[in-house]
Amino acid sequence: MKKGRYFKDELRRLIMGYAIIPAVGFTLICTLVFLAVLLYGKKSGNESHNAFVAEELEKVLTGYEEKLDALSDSDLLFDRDSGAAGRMAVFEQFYRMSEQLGYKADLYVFDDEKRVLLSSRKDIPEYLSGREDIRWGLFGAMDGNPGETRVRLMEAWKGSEQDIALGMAVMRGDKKAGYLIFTINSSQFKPALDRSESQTIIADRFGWVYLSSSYNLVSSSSQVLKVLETAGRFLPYEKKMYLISVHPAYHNMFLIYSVTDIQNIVFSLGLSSALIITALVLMTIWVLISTKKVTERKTRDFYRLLHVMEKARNGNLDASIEIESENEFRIIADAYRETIASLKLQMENNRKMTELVAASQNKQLESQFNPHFLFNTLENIRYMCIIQPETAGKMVFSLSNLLRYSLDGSRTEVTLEEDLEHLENYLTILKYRFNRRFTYVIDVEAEALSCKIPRLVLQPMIENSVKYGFGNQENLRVELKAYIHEERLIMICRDDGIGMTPGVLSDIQALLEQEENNKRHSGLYNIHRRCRILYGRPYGVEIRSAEGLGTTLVVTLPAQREEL
Amino acid sequence: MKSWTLRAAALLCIVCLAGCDRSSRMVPAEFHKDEELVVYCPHPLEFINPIVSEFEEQTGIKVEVCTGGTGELLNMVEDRKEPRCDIFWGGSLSTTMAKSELFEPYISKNESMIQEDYRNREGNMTRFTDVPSLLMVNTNLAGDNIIEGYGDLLKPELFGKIAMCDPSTSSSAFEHLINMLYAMGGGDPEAGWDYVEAFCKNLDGKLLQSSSEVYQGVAEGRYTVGLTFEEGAAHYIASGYPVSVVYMKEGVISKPDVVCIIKGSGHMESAKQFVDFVTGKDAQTVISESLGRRSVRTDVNEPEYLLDKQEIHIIYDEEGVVKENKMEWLRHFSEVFQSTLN
Repeated sequence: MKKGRYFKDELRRLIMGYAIIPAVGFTLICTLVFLAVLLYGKKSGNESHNAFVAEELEKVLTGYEEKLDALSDSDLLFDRDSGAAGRMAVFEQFYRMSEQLGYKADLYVFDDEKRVLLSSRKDIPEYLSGREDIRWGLFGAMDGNPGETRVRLMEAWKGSEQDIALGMAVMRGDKKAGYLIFTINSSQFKPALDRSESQTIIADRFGWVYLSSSYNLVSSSSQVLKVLETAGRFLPYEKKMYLISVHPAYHNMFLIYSVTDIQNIVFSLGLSSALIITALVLMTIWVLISTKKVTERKTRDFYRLLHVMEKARNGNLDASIEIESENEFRIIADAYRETIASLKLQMENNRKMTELVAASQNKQLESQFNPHFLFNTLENIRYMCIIQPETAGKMVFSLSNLLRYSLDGSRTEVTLEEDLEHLENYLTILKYRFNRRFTYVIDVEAEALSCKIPRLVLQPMIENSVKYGFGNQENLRVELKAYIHEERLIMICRDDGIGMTPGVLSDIQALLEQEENNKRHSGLYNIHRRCRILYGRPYGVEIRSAEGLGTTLVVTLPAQREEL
Repeated sequence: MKSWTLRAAALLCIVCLAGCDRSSRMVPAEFHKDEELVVYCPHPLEFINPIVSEFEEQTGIKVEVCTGGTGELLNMVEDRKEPRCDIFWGGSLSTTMAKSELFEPYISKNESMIQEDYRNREGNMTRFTDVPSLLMVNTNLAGDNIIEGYGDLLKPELFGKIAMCDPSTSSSAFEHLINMLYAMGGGDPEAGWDYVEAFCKNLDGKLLQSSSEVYQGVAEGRYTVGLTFEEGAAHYIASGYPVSVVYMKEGVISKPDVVCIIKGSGHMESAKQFVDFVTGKDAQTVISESLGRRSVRTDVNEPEYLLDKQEIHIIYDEEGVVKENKMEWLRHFSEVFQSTLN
């Protein structure tokens, strides 16, 4: 049954291994892949938005730098005498540039003493109120590098907004002609920032914010938070997870940060993993319970078959198989039933055949009468007829009794008592034949007398003693004992004859164990063979002998008492 | 089959972990500054940003600014909070004097150009600007009430309409407390407490936490009058709010605020550069001309839009007495204020 349990477990493992684990594994992998794709999407969205803003800023600043350069060559700029026409020409050129770039700027032109010449707005921002004597702000930077474009992040009016100011101290020869300044208000970039849900911060190289759509990564002093400046691709901040993209723009003067809140994804990742693991645990428990039942039900027919086969192996062929289901097991069961049925028939036939053979063999064996004995006895009778005719008559009477008994084929088994009675005839003949030379003692338990034994067992035992016992010896004494020991009838015939040489003994022992006796039929072989045929092993004849010490025959039979 | 699943899972985990690698910084290397100065500053942002960004542009040193009330920031310095402070910029002399042990001795290279009254006598407290205390009045709300000095603040019409800050958190409020005590006590601070008591009663239990709430509150009409400092008010006048300033007729103490290097700063050279920069002529001129403060330098003119100092009734406190009694006065004020709540 041990193997059967394994089969059941195998079936369960099969369901686990090929259904549950792949299903859960597949779900897990799908979820992870889904989230990875989602994360990748967010990341690339963040990245591309970041790159877009950086590109826009780069494009606008580079564009205005070029325009500044181009416009600074115009002679109309600082010419106070050009009047309205000159003014118009400058502004026309400026507005065209502005239109091209798509981001509006303001134009300011100052003369060499920082007085306003042209302005696209009525009011001048605070940071453009020039002071003569100090080096400060945009003017300071422009004065430091005349003829070059300087770019600064400046606080616009009332500090609520920021401007990027591009300015140049325009030189005419060695003389400073004036200043040309473009300012781009941070509000211009708002639409660009609003294109994505990402929070975007445009900051200068010192971390001061130009424009920001972030609500928590800018300090109260309008600087980019240090955590963001030192962040990697992912930033855990205030219990939230952010995805970071950074691009520098315009000669590394500006940095654009894009930040996407991926807390939801991180949360769903955690949640779905937890759910899947919980599902796995629950499913495993469920499967452990349910497969036990299912596999038991599904393998019930199998185990029934197995059970019947197990019984058959132990010799019980009568167990019947009850198969309810209409599947392969039914076919197997039917086939098995047929096989067993034919097997049973076969076995019955065999048994009958064996019985027949045994009976005929037994008949043949028991009817054999030693011709030597007959010859010798007849010789003795002839002799007696001459010297003691009376004795000869008795001998003939005994011999005829003996012959009648041996020829009586009606019964195979007789009681020990009966066999003993007929043995008397034989012994009488021997007594007449050997006279004083032969003596015998019979000692039989009363209980053993009623035991059933095959006909003519005792006679060959005595015959054997006489045959091998005398040799050159004068006298022979034979003891016949019978008793019951452990439900076995033991019959012993012991003589004090010359015994057997080891060679003869082993020859006789070998002869006894042969199934077919092709040589002359010995009496001993006869009884041994009949015992085996009638009762099987381990019953039969045992022979012990030693040279000069006589021979002992032991016949063991089952103790079957005569039924009364 | 199982091992295949396991391997796939392991691979996936590795990929995820590799994706989550946070070791690399996103900000390009050229933006990383070795020197990064941390400045604690109670000034308004509109004041801080132009000066700090100009300092950054001229020196290339990056500055991180932490804003807050003077008392709060000083506590942060004492507690060695992160980011570790290098420069304490702002806060009136009276407040910072009590914590002068936090500051590193440094005489700026502009010291010779500083007005006599505002010299760095202690060695570690460089004066930055001259900040007279004053009253800021919302002209729309004041109506017929004539407010000329501390005395007028006791008027029942102003009950609950006065913006005053807690002197223990705001240095400008502490300046006003000293000013009250000396002005109303006629030079004897102990004699001024009667006035303080009456004044506290007229506050209707309202005491603000930050000096910015005072000038914002008055400008935006939550209060009729506020006790503040010159620059806080000046900014709103310049912006066109319906406010005016009143220099107390009982006397105005004009105290400087300071810029100090914190002891144990890791960026001593940059810090010294910063002190030199903000006391330099350029910075002081800008401060005076457009940021609404009076310079401590001799070579910078008083701003045209501020009342000439000659026309203000200036009185003086005794620095020693103030330093010695600061805790006691703060405790006393708190006690007086608490008693008005019941």
